[in-house]
Amino acid sequence: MGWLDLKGRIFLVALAVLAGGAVALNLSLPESSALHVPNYMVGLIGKYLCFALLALSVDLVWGFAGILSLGHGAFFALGGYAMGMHLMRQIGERGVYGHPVLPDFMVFLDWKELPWYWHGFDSAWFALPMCLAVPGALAFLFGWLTFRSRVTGVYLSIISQAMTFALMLAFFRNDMGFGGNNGLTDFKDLFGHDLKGAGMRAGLLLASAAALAGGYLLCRWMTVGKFGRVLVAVRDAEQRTRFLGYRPEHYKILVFTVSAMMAGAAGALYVPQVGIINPSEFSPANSIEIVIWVAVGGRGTLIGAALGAVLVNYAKTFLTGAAPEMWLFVLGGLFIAVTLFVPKGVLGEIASLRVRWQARRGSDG
Amino acid sequence: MVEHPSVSNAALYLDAVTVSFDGFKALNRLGLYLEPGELRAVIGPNGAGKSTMMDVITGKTRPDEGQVLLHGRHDLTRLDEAAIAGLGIGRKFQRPTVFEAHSVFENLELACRADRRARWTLFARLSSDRRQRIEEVLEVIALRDRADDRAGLLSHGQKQWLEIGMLLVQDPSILLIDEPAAGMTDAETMRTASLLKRIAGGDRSVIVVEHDMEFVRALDCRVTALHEGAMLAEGTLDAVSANEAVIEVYLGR
Repeated sequence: MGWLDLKGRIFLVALAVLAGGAVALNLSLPESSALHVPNYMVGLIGKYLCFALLALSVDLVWGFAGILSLGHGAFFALGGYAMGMHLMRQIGERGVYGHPVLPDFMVFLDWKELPWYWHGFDSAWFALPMCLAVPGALAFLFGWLTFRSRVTGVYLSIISQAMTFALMLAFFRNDMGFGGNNGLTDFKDLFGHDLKGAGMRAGLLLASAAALAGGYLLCRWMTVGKFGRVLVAVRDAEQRTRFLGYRPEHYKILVFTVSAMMAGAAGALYVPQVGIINPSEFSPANSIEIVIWVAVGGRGTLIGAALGAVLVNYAKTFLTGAAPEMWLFVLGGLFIAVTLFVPKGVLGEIASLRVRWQARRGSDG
Repeated sequence: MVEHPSVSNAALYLDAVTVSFDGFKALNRLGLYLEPGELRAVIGPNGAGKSTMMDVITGKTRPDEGQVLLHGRHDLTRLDEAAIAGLGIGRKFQRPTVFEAHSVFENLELACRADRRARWTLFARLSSDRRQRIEEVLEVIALRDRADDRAGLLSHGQKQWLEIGMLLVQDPSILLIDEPAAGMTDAETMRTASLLKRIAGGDRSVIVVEHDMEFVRALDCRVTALHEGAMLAEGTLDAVSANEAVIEVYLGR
C-alpha cells in the first residue's frame, strides 16, 4: 500500500488505540477504578468521531476540488433521518400510544397509515443502504444541476446553503411526515439490542472509528493518485483543465456524491449515539461550523480536518458547559483568527514549518 | 490571395466566421486555411479578433455564423472544449497557466494522452511509454532538472515552456499559442522561436499569435494580419509589412 504514507499509518493506529482503549477501559474496569472511562465519555468520543468523518467529507470536496459546500450538514442530517426512521420502526408497540406500526407522532397527528416513503425502513437491509443512497442521490442531483451549468465559487456556496435551509424548513413541517420540529427520538434498540446498553455503546463507538478509518482510506486513495491531481488542477485552474480535455463537472459530481455519502454515514452513526434527530441539524450554521473545523485543522490535509473537528468540538463541549452564551463568539473569532494567522490550518502550518526547517538545514549543510 | 487546393486537405479551415458581442463584431467573416505541418503567425493590433479566433477554434465561443473544420471532417462549432481538445487541438494561453501546486512532471502527466473520464482516472497508472514521452518532452523544453520542483516555483519563461510541453505530450495535430514571448528576455524569446520551429512540421501545425515583430521574424513563416475581425493580408512577413492596408492600420494613416 504505497499510497498510505507514514502520517496516515500513525493516524489509523492512533485511532485504533483511542477507540479500542476507550472501549476496553470502559467495559473491563469497575467504575471505582481511576482508569475507568465513564459511559458518557464513550458516547462523547463516538460523537466526535462522527464529526471527524463529516469534516473529512467536507475536506474532500473543499480541500481538493475547491468546492466550498456550505450545505454538507444536509447530507449528514439526511443520513441521520434515514437511520432515525429505522430506529423509529424498531420501537414497534413500545411507543407511548402502543400502535404496532405507526410511530408516536403519526398517531398524535391522527394519521391512519404509514406514508409510502416510510415503507421498508423496518428492515436494516433497506434502511442502512438508504443512509448512503439518499444523501448520495441528492448530492448527485445537486451536482448535476450546478456543476454542469458551471456554477462555481461563492455562487455555489450560496446555493448549497440555500439547499440546506430549504430542507430545514421542509422538515419543520408536520405534514412532511418526519416528526416536524420534534424530529425523531425516543429510540429503543438497534439490531435487537438496547441502545442504552454498554455493549451497544461500545459497538457504536467502534463502528464510528471503523467508518472514520474507512472514510480516511477512501479519501486518501481518491486524492493520492492521478484522480486527486486532476481535482487539485480543477481547484486551481478549472478552465485550463478543461482545455486539457478533462470534464471538471464529472469529477466534481463524482467527488461531491462520494463526499455526501460519507457525510450520510457520519449522520447515521451519530443519531443512535445521541438518541435524536431533528430539523435543526439542517440549520445553515451547522454547515458553516463544519467548514470551520476543516479550516482550523488544515484544508486539504484530510487528517487535519479530522483533528480540527475533534479540537473544535472539544472546545465546544467545554465552553458550552462553562459559558454557553460565549460559544458563537468564540467560533466566529476562531474562524477570523485562523484565516488571518494560520491560513493553512494547524496541520498545514506544521507541514510547511517542517519544509522550511529542512530547506534551511539543506542550505547549511 | 492564394488559391486553396481543397477544404479536406486543410489541417484547419475557417470560412466566413462571424462572432458578435452586443452588436460589436469581434470576428467579421474571417477565413483561414492552415496546411498540415504549417507554422503560422497571426498578427494584428489589440481588438483585431486574435483571441476570439482562438476561442472559436477551441470551442470556448460559438460563432454566430460560419464554418470551422478540422481535417475537413470535424465541425468544431458543434463541440465543447473537452471534445475539441480530445480531437488534438491544444491551446496555450497568453498568461502562463500551469498547475502551480503540482510538480513539473505531474503537470506533464496530467496533460498526457489518456482516458480523461473520471471513473477511469481513478484507477489510472502511468505506463512506461508515457513516462518515456514525458522524459522526451522534458528534454525538449529544457526542464529535465526541474522535473520534481513545484511548477509555481518556475520563472515566467519556464512556465511558458512547461505549458508548451503540456501541449506536446498530447501529440496534438494543431497547437494554438497566444503571445508566447510576452514577458520573456531576448535570449528566452529566441529559444522559444526555435522551439516552436522544431515543434511544427510533419502532421503538426502551429498557430502563433504575436505582437513582437522580432519574434515573428525569427519564426520565419507565413504571416496572417488581422484587423477588425477580418483578414487584412497574408504572406511572408516582408510582403505583409509592405502591404499598404497593413501600414495604414499599424501606423494609423
